[in-house]
Amino acid sequence: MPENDPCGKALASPKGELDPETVELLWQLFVKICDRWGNVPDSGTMKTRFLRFLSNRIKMNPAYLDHYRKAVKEIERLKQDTQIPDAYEHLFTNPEANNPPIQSSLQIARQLVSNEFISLQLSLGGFKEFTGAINYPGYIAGWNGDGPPPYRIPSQP
Amino acid sequence: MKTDIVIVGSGVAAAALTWKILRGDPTASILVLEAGKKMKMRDFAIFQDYLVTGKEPYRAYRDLPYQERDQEGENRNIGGTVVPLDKSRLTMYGGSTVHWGGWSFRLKEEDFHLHTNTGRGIDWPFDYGELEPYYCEAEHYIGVSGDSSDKTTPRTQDYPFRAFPFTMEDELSIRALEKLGYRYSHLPIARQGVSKTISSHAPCQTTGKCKYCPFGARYVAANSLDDLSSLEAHPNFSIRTEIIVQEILMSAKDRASGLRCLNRATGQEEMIEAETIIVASGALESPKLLQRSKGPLWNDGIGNDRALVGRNLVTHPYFFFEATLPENPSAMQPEMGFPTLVSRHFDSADEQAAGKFILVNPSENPNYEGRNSDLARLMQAGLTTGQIKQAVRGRVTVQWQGMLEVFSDPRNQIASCNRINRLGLHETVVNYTKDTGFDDRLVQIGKHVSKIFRAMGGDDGCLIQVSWRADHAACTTRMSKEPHQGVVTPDLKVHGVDNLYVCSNASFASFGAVNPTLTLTALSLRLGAHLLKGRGRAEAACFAAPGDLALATLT
Ligand SMILES: Cc1cc2nc3c(=O)[nH]c(=O)nc-3n(C[C@H](O)[C@H](O)[C@H](O)COP(=O)(O)OP(=O)(O)OC[C@H]3O[C@@H](n4cnc5c(N)ncnc54)[C@H](O)[C@@H]3O)c2cc1C
Ligand code: SF4
Repeated sequence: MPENDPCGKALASPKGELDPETVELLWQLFVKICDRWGNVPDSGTMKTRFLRFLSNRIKMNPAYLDHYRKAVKEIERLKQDTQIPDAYEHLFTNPEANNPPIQSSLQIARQLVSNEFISLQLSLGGFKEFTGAINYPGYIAGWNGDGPPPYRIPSQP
Repeated sequence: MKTDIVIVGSGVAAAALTWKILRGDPTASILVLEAGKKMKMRDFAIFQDYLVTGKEPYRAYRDLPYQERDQEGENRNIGGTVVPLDKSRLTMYGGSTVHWGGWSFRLKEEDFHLHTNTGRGIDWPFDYGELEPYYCEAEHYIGVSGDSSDKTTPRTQDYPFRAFPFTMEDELSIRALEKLGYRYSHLPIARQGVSKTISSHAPCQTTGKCKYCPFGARYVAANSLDDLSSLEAHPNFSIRTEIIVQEILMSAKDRASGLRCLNRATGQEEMIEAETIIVASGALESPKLLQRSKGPLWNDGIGNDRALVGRNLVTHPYFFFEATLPENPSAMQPEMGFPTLVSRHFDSADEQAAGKFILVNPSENPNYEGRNSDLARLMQAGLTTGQIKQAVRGRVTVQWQGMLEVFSDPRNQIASCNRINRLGLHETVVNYTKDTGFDDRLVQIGKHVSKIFRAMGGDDGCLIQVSWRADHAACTTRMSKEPHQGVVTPDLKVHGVDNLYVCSNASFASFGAVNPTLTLTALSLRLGAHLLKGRGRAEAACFAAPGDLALATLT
């Protein structure tokens, strides 16, 4: 099983693999998150870590193969729906999609896929835009060495 | 085959003790028996799962909540105050430090003289000076980052790693404390810093998801035991998991001979003989094991002729106060996964009779008001960037959290029950009722906290929760010089038995206002020194941590 597959050709678990198109569509969703909130100057720099995340999710829980496939299908369905002006905006904002329990494909796409990508994106640096902070729970900011600490400190120490 | 030393439990008490003995005697024959299973530590996939779901990966190894009307549960609470056991400990390889916070305080000098100073409880059978060298060693062993110039407790050695500077989120609190003249300091925390030696534990990367650290930067007994077992220099050290000790066997009233165990994997019973037995199975299981070990020599359980085993239970009531600040102009946001600011102003001799307490500025501060929210939740709720920026600069809630010393009462106790929980342990009966003065003391604390909130520019705030969870359960086999006052001697040996020890928070004489584990680690190292001495080995204080490979291979 390829543990990490930075090329994104196929992300596999013993129960199967994600085909490259699905991986690409998931990446597009991640990029849409970056675009909608405008909180990442260059999402491309996050691609390797994003693919590793997908691989880790599937490794931890092979059910994610199914979740990812369903999410991609659901986004395609939203795109086809003429009543919905913007598929991604619908996914990010529809309040029902965020309600428990997770049953429908829309809820899977929002809660198990899009929401998790948001948490990942913040932990990779997306938080900075909102508060100007330099650290955030989940972000690997660096150690408390001789230099300035890897987080904001009081203005008057 | 007879093992020299058998230790029941694989938590920090067992790990520190093992480490100390093996440093003095690398070929010592030691067997650690652990009831629970082993889980992978330092795994990035597990870390990421925790990151995005918030679900702690070891949750299967906790007790279930107490039974509710229509919901199955575990253990029984029969006292006037509910002391939850769920989330209070872990039955697994490495024990409860797998989920601990790492706050690593020393007790204060007056804590060792509780009875003399206040008439409550009992005194420790020795004073702060006796434990001080072991505190130094313990801070190195668990890798504490702290402020060596802090005068709160006297010290003869520096912390191994420098303190984490205060955060911007601490600033408002510091100004308030200064205005009111309340003392404060850096919170000493078990997080690796940059080591001078080659270490298998990376320095803390301030990632802030510490309940499962992917780098091993927060001390966890499981990692420490792994380090010890991986060294070839320890040929006679081994650990067995899924071995649940049922009973301590005696060959004479004053001599333990071995253990009756259940091998959970095979379902078979096993007898394990030992020269010396150390019970290090936590403050609940340690007394329960003594209580269960009944026979013609000890009718009511080992060390229990005076019915003291399991009594005098204490734990820290942990309180949460919350207030609202009208705005957050500098867009404060939680940046760290652990607190950096503590006030031990009220953890003083003056407050001892009424109940000392500490106040901590929690790392979750501030919370964006009205949504109980962090940035992730705001985005996940679909707010736009503009709305989020507005929300984080608007009204926020802030908390002060803390804990209070409560005193032993023999009526507060635990007992072993015949029902077996899903992890294979005998269930626990908890009988605890808070002191009648507790509610008034909390009101007094609330007044101090309100002053701080107002000085921070907030409203008065209010108490939002008190948790009596048994995270810090202690004193259930307390130590005493005389057997009529406690269960173990100052050397942690069960009164009346020559080769049986209890190394646990259970053996604390009294409790103080701070988290117990640094003191427990110091006591474990002190016990290690005592056992080495008994074996004719010199004890050498060691200021290295288990992951320090360069040192380990040199010895
Ligand atoms: C959420 C939380 C946060 C905490 N944070 C802090 C903190 O910041 N600072 C601090 O000082 N303290 C903290 N504590 C307390 C700290 O975790 C404990 O003081 C410490 O872990 C106790 O260590 P121990 O070795 O005595 O027991 P444990 O770590 O509980 O180990 C006992 C071991 O014995 C095993 N065992 C039990 N019975 C048997 C049996 N019959 N046979 C074989 N094995 C058995 C158990 O499975 C367990 O592994 C925290 C506790 C909790 C719950
Ligand atoms: S903040 Fe430090 S201890 Fe906590 S998870 Fe990150 S590296 Fe580990």
